[in-house]
Amino acid sequence: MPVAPVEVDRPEHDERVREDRPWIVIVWNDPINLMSYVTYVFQKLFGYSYEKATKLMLDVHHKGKAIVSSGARERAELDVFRLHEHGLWATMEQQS
Amino acid sequence: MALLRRRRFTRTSGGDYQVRLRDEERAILATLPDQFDALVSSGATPATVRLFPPAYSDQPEFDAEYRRLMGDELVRRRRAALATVRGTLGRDRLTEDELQAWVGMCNDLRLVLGTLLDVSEDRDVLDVDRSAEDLPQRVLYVLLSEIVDEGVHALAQGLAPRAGA
Repeated sequence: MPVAPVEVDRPEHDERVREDRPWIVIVWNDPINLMSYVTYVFQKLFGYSYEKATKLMLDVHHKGKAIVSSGARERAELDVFRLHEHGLWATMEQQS
Repeated sequence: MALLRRRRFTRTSGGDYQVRLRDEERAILATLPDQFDALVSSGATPATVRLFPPAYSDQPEFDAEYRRLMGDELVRRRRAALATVRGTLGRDRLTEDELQAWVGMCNDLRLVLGTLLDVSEDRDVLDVDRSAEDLPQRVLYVLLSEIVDEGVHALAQGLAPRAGA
């Protein structure tokens, strides 16, 4: 990462926003959403097969989270919005 | 997350959905859109926190921008689904969009009730004393869970398999 003296006081999060790094969309485990519902939402929103959607759902359930999509910031934000519209606990962050 | 069984909705050969609800279940469902409308329209409160989660977990200024741009749209889409549910409550046949609106409302209400009841994966939601004051909410939570589970099972039959997905 380039270090410029004039930027040393900038907050850390500003340095982390880099155009060349993709954003990842993460779905987090929660005690409310049903396994069947989460699988269906992954199939419906992302066009994933039942098998792939089920694997992602089980990752969320057992590991606490799963990366469900990645890409440019605008695309990731749209995916997060659609997941929020369906009541899933989704966040996005830039890949390190 | 939890696992349940299914039976109230069946996909027909024409692509619609046959609804089999008991009268008392339909009567309960009929009371929900108005109650939920008030909750949704009040924005992010302790009860509705799960309906409006943060998009950026560690970048508050980005999250504020996301909420400014998308928050109203989240409310608008939920209210549109409630209008669909209101208009189709008495029906025995639903289109895919209509059943999705039913399932969406019921799941949103589960998120609100589950938050208020502080449900966990380790304990059955009905594992309380029969005199518990919140027993009616717990019973409603179970009904909504069954409707969501059976609804998505039926809806999944209508998903087109996509190559390479």
